[in-house]
Amino acid sequence: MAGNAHRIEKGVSRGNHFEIIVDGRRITAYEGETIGTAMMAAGLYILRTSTEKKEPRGIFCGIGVCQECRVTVNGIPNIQACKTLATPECCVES
Amino acid sequence: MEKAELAIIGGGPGGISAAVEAAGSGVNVTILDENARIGGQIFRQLEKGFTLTNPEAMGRDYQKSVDLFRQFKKVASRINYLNHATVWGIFDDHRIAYGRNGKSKTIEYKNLVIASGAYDRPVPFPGWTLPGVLTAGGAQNLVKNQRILPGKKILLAGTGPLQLVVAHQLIQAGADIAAILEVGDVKGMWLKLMQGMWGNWGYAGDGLRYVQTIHKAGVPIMQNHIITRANGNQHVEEAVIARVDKDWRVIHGTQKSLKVDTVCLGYGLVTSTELTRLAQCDHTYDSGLGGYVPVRSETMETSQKGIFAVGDGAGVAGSQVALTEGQIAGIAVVQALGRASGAEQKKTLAGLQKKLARHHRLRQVLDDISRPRPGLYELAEDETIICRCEDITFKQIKPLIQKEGIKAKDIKRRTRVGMGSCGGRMCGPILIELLRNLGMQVSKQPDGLNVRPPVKPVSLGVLAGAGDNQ
Ligand SMILES: Cc1cc2nc3c(=O)[nH]c(=O)nc-3n(C[C@H](O)[C@H](O)[C@H](O)COP(=O)(O)OP(=O)(O)OC[C@H]3O[C@@H](n4cnc5c(N)ncnc54)[C@H](O)[C@@H]3O)c2cc1C
Repeated sequence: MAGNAHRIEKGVSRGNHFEIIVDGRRITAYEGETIGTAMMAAGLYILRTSTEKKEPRGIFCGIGVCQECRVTVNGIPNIQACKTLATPECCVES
Repeated sequence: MEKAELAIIGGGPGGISAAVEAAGSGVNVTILDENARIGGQIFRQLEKGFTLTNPEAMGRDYQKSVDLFRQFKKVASRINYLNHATVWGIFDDHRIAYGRNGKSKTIEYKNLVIASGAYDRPVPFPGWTLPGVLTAGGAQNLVKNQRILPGKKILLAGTGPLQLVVAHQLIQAGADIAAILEVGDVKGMWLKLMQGMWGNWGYAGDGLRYVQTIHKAGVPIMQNHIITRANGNQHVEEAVIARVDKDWRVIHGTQKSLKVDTVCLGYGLVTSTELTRLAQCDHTYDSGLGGYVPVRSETMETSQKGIFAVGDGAGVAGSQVALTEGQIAGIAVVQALGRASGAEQKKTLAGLQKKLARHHRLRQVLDDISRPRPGLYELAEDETIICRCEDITFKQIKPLIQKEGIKAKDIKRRTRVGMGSCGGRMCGPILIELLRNLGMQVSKQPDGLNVRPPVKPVSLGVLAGAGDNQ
């Protein structure tokens, strides 16, 4: 089972949307969304696999402290998905 | 190299109010914050790209923030606001180093205010690393800044009034909350709580409103309850909860299972002290204030002359205290720079100190409820992860923490706990509390898990360029 994240419509309107590529799959992101948010909205909660036990990890602290959300973006490793904004056509590897 | 009469690290309520005070008296201020926009945690703004269509939907804190930002705008001409600026080093010769847009730069300051804030207390229990388990503050951030709900059926587990704030925000955003677990004993505390709130009506009113929303949504608040386990295949599917005694120890036979897809943990906050440590300020340990805190004078000055510390990073006490402390530090800086006459400011200072005392009265009551009790750190089992970065389990550190006279730094050397990319900010507070649980003396200075620059992850490219503009 995956989570059931969904975008809140109340109180805001979103700007432009575009696509990003996560592990080869195209998903939608809106302007202002982090990579973590766009992935969560697409039901992709697993951002990395832990080093020793090979367990799935996702967003935990959500404010850039815990480093659990590190992904590779356009070939650059250790990018925090919870803080880094999605950009059109960026390539994310979890 | 850039110069600043006053450099402020952190653009939350503490940092902003120090800036407003000092800039209002003619001081040139530079604020550095790693986020895109000012506000810090409580006043976290929507990310650029979103357009606000209904301010009411953003809650009351948002409305309070509008006021503060207005004051800030008035003096903005004297404030150099650097967003996306991560401070990674503080050096002896009045210099700080920060990374911004892939480059490292330095600022020479006359006075420094550290207003670095706090983060949610990490508490290990079986399953706490499963995707779908996140901190309450993290969930808030998703709602406030990103307008996304992390799940459909959510369990809140933790302690203290922030849980009510989070629940309120999540309900307003349309979430279905299964229950709010309050591990503390609130019932026996109502009287004290009311006494503490005397003179803090602002808080009492907010609290009441939150509780009303929660009741109206039919969400149960379960006192003396804790989450003991999160289960699921790749994602949370179930939470096991149990009743606890006054030491927060699980009462056997009271376990129950709840079907949820998200768990938010809100066990209070711990201080972000990497910067005050780096500046070699004296610290002391106070678990009620969120762990290690810098020792300060009445005007918020640390043991290092010219370096002030305010807000949650200097002792977790909420936004009102952060605002007041920031103002006090701002005045102290104005005085230190010889920009003020004295008499009038003395009067203002005395008034602010009184305000602080009132807030601390409330805090003390909340502490009585929420200060961590031993049971909180007895949930981990052998295979439970203690250090998330390096995948170190409780079993690996158990034989070490039980050794007589062991220090946090010995455990670090032997197991790599605290050496991962979070810089020990997750496992550090856990380790200290585990040791305290076993009756070990915690050293006064946080030398155990020493910090070194860079205190926050900045890319190697940034560091390589560090000498460029000095
Ligand atoms: C995630 C979260 C959400 C919260 N939400 C609420 C809420 O809704 N209501 C409420 O009453 N309380 C909330 N709190 C409590 C909150 O901490 C305080 O109420 C208040 O925000 C404290 O203000 P502050 O100025 O001390 O710190 P903060 O508001 O935390 O501000 C500190 C700032 O310093 C920055 N910073 C830290 N280190 C560095 C560095 N090395 N370089 C650059 N910048 C740095 C941070 O990015 C942050 O913006 C929340 C706390 C957290 C952790």
